[in-house]
Amino acid sequence: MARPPEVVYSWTDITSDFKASVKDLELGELAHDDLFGLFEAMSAIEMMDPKMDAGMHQITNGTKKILSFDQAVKTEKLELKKVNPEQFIGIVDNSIACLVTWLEGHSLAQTVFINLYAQHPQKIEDRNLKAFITIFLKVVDLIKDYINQASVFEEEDFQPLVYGFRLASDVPEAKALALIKESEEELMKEIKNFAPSNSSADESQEMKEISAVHTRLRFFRHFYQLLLKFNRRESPNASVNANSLIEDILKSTHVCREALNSCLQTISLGSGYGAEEIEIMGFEPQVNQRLLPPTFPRYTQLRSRADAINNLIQLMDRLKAMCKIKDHTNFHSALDFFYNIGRQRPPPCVLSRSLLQLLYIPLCNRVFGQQPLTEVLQDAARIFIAPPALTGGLGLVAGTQQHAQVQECIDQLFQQCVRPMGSLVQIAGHNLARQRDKFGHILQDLAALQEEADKVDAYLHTISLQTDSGRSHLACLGTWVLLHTLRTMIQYLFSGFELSLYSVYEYHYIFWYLYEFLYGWLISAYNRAESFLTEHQSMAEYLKSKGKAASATNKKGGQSGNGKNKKKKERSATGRPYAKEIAYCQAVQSMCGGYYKAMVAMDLEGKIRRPRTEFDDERVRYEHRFAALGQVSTPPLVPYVQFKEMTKLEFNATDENDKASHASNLYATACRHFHHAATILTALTGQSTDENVTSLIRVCKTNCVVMRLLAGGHRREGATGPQFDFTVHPHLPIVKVT
Amino acid sequence: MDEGLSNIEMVDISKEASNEKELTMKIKSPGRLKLESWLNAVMKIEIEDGRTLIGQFLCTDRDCNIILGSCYEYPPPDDNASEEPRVLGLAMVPGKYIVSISVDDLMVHNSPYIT
Repeated sequence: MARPPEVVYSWTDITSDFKASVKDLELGELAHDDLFGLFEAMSAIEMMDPKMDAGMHQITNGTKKILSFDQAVKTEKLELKKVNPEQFIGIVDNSIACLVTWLEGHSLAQTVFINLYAQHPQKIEDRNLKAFITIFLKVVDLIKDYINQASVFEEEDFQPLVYGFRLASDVPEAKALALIKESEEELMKEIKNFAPSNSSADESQEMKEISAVHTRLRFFRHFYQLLLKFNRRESPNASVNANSLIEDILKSTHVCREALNSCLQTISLGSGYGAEEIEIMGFEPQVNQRLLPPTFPRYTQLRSRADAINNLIQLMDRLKAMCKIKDHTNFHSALDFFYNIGRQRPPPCVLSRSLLQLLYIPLCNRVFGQQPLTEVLQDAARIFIAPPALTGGLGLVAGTQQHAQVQECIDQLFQQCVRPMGSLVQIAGHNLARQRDKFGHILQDLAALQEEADKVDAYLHTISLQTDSGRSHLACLGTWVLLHTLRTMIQYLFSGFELSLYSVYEYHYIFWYLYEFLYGWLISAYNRAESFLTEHQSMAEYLKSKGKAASATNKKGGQSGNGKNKKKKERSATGRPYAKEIAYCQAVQSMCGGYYKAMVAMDLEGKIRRPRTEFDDERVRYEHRFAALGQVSTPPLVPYVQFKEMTKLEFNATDENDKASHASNLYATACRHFHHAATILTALTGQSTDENVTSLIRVCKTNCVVMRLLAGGHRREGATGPQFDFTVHPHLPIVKVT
Repeated sequence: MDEGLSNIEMVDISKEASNEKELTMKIKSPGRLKLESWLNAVMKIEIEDGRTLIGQFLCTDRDCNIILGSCYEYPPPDDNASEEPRVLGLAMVPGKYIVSISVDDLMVHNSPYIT
């Protein structure tokens, strides 16, 4: 074994001896111990391989030596006392590039800390630079904290390790801000004192540079202040008004965005701009290679300065968009909002995803830091389905033992909801690939919750029978949980399209499953909720009129139980409260049906390339695709046998002639499906201008035309298979036949 | 089934294998023997970019590619003497980059692995 470094060795040079000896080996023959074989050798890292060997000194530019901070100072390669504006701008812009690259999932050692100044901020004497580096490190520290708190990252998104560097944690917030403010003011003075009389070209250039320095400092101060606003754990007054806070954040993003824009305009003033941007004073890309573990991605390609600044501008835009979360007080719409943010293109960075989490649930299970999540969930359930138990529909009198029991039962159920429902919010913050993975796991928790909700429903039902309230409680809270389960399942299946996991020959059963089952279940869940809601409304109206009558005739004044819920907002839609949701689901269901039929028809015509039979087992693939859904008991997993049984009709076609007419029938049905969906969706657009709906209409209309052509025998002998274009809608593609 | 089984002739594989081993033992070249005597000893390898690697010699081939176990990497001597060595673990050094090889002769004789 290699001994610790302090051991003294007695070396004997055997270079020539060794090199001669290996010549005795045959080609491919190895000299090794019995305990060490090729298998072990596989895991060795290869020295001098640019991809594997972190410590490799680049021989190619052997003249340039990598200098550490101390070496650079000693050889006077690193200016500590006076940094000129040109260098300063270069350093700031490079630092932004480092920051952005770090946020894309690279390590701090290869990004932020290749800046030698950032390694030893206390040794910098230049006032502006010191102020900048300090606040820069504070920003990095804060970002790191937030991302850790929100914990919606995976190793591919974010590297939290600091490799023993200090992130200016010894400098208090206020001091960092004071430092930078002081610098800003000094610069401001300089700009003002600049006499406009002698405006030679040289001096106006100098002027530009100074104001560019000023802008950069200003940006970082505002950026830091913006980030600080998200820190509500430590603020003494935890219940800061969420609305005014979000207003503040919105203002800050505007200021930051403007500052960034003017940074972008002055970007060419920085040293090294446009050339090898990283090779300026203070940056040493290889300086930390030895800190990295032996097997680590070797070289980090930094973003260009212009790219990085644009990236931050986009970040500001995303933050601005995220502030709209404040309008989503209902849990369901908030959840939708989260998923929509996650689907934006380009995908939101880890910082914006984390900040959104902190904005919505900044404190342990308190939405916007105010309302406990249990309450928010109760509200959501109440608005969704108006459970008698939550709306006083059980006719229980407050203060009685039975009332207390029911209350406790309900409270317990919603306590249990907190974890899985909170996870749904958190999952929405992860990157798309991890979202899918986590959907698969959360289904198990939702299934357990479902079971619990069903039990509570059954118990409440017996009570409602006793109190003679006339309202059933069966499958009420259960339906609410089921809604979330179904939506999760649908998202799970759809995310496979987004991540391009499915092969084309798999599409038919994925769409079949959505068409025959999941959307059917979802629609019936909405129907059930609708009937509960209307029942509740008519009950409430009846009670109201009865109460009025009662007080008018001065009879007994009971009905204390439902006094509380009167303030609940009635849904605006008077007729059918879920007409819109149901119509949308029906449209998507119909589209899925269309895809399914089209897939079968194309398969019959031999347009779909399938794997060779000896390597293929549809059953295995099917079971693998739907395995995650099997963790839930309602709705039950549809076994492969049943799939085969149910789709027999579509697939049965014996001879060639029959096949052709059968396929064309299927295309015609698919066309009708898409047409039907388009009709429903067009009716929906009258009520809202949802981007999602308009793009779906486009998909439907195009597909409808394609199906009609195919039904008419167009391209029956087409050599190339169909193309699926997911650019208009991420889940439901446009079918193209070329 | 029974018929099928009875048709199979049983062959003693272990005997054949040991024969083969004896055979290879006989044709071991002096170079190979020398290499085997160094196996598991601590070795110091200097490579082209100036670094020194110290680790246990585990494996080599005709092109002088060497695998070192529990390997430490030392920076070039002129660089910064105070710098700590870096732990690499299992490392393969391609022959073409090797400048010099040394062996710790205390280990060669004391190594428990050498018979």
